[in-house]
Amino acid sequence: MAREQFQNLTEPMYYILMSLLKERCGVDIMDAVEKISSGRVRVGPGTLYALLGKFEKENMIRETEVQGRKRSYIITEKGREILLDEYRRLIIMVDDGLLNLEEKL
Amino acid sequence: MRSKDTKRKLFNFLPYECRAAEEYLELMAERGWLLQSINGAILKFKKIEPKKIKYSVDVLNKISIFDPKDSDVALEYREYCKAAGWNYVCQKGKIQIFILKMIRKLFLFILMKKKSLNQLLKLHYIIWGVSF
Repeated sequence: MAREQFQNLTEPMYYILMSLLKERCGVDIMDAVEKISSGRVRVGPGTLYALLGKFEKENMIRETEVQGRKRSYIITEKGREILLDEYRRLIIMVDDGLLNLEEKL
Repeated sequence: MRSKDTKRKLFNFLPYECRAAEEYLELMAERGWLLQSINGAILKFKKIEPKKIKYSVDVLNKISIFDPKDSDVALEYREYCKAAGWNYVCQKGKIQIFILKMIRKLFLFILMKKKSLNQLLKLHYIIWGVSF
């Protein structure tokens, strides 16, 4: 069976949603993601633009303000739930790793 | 009268050949020709000092090939690219062409593409005009 969309978030999805916990203008998200991940994750404009469109279509984020061509977004309740689900899934994965991998490494 | 500072080349490419188009444009820049505009399959270049330039040939699927040039969607997308250090050059239907101008962004781009330290150093010397 095909995987449901946004069941698991990719790294750029996860960080973009996290950066939108605070209202941000589209172009500021790139810097925010870099800052949140301490420079580890960088989202290119193509990825960001495509993902913002998908998130908005799925009501995971909503537009808050339009200034010229600058659009600001914030996460919605649905987006927050998906983000929290992913966060919990990642914690479970780390815990499983701690139990099963720690002694073997 | 033909100008020595401009050159027109026939180079047709399809969206799935973007990478090849990037390589071609980068080769032209190394030979001292910078892309100015595209009209169908005719690429217009202007003479510059030969240098390494990083091109991005990108397909913007959100627009239609029937949309006018510089549509709102395309302009919005270019804002994102500009913020990431990519300067817009021209478009051909859905295809948007950018060059990477800022040196810091060029290094970041190469880091993202996981180039080795040696390649980074080599690029650093090319940028600052030091030959090996």
